[in-house]
Amino acid sequence: MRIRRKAKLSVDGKQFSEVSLHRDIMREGRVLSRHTGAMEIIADKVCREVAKWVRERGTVTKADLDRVTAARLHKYDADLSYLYRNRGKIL
Amino acid sequence: MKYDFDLVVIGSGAAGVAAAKQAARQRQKVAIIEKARLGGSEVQTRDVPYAASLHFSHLYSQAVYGSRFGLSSTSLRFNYPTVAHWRERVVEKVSGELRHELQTLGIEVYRGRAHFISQHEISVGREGRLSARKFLIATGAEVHDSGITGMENVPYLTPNDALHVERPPKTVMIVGGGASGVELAQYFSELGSKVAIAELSERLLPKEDEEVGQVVEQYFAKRFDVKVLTQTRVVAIERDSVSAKVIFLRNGQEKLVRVETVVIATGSSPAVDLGLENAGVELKKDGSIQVDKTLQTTARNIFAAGDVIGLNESGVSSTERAAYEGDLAARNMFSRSPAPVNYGGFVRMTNTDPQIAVVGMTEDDLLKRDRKYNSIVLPLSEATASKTQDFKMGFIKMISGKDGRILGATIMAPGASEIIQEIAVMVRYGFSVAEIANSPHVASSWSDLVRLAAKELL
Repeated sequence: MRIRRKAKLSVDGKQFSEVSLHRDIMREGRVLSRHTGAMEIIADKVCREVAKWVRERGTVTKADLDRVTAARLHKYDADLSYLYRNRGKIL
Repeated sequence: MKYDFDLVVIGSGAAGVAAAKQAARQRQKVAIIEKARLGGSEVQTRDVPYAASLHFSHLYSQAVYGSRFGLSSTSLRFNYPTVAHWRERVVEKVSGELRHELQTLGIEVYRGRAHFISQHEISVGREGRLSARKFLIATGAEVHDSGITGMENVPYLTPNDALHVERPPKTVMIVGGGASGVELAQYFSELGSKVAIAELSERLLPKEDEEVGQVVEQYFAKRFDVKVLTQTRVVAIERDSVSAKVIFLRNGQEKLVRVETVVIATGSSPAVDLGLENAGVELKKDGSIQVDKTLQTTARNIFAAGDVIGLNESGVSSTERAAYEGDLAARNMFSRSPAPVNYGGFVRMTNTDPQIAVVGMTEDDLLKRDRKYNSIVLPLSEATASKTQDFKMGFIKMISGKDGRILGATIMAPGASEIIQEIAVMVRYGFSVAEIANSPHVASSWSDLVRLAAKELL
């Protein structure tokens, strides 16, 4: 049986954007007053890793994306990872 | 609601294939999703290629040491590309037979990485989506990050690809003294490499009883060029233009060794990166999938089997256990009265020469549970076969409860995987020591050790 419903690389029906992800990570880094240069390096690496992860799967959910991004961030900055995972919840 | 399939199996290893076949025989519409090559680790990277390669290396080693029987081996050589080619042919044959069998049963196979979108739907790579009434997760385990500094910058091998070297390395450091590490240490040493094996615990094969690690270490020292470094922590690996530098801590001192090749055999962790949260499947603290006694996960229509559910009560990670669980899960998911798992009698193997086979409880297990028991350790030299084959390195250890029932056994002997089957049946069905002791065994065979050990335990 052929899979009839083809899916583009998507996150909950929207196209995955590395640029948006990079922007989100940089924003969380600013909240923690991280140096911009260091944040650029971390954001670049994490975006590349997450993009590779998403590319291997045709469709993922927003929750998946948040989870994987937070897990990848944890390698470089545990506090940033925590903040990213809980953004919108921490006042 | 209409689904594409009655059952979608994620993973084509032993558990996945067993489940797919069982469901297909029940006339369910079944699909298998596989991200790599068909057959999973059993066919492609572990059981089959290891069995083929170790058979060759043990054969070669025995021939080299056959001079005491009159065999002349001074001009004995091997051609490694030919060995590798033969191994690939074996893998292709097994894989081909599997493909044919799945086709015959009408099981569809999709190539791609599965990812749960919801409880009844998955995405398959870049292809699209599939829905199913039931799912079985049989994705096995993958090599995990050992936390050694420098690994991301230095090429290294794992047990999954160590056999694919172009030629045996001159020097090799194996990190991890479990079954895979010990098998590889002997394999490379038999082919002429100088081997060092580093293990964090105080002995090799730390999951087994003390005697196993001690005898293996003695055997390696006596017969092979294997340096055993127990109570050793490898902290970093670096590479220069010539070789790899392995930095480790032993007895409070930092030391360094230069080797051509590094093999990281520190274990694996369940492959659960499947979007399980979207399907409501929960994980245990060790990262494996949580299942009940019928192999059902926390999502009612999703079952799991094999290494992805961890060791559980079995304490064994093996093809047989995975196949049993896959088959049982497929029966349970379409049955009104599902059956619980029964892990009695599963064997844990280390395919060195001599083989090491363990079934049931070990002495360490019983001590931890504070259970009373009797045990006996008989050296291999007690068997007639030891004299006829001039082989003494090994033993049989048998443990019984106070009620006389066999609780477990460890055998280190040639053909241990065959000898232990008798004890595995005894353990599974609760036979007693007296029943083995009074059963006739072929006097000149290694299995006579089983009878001799049982007699001592009476």
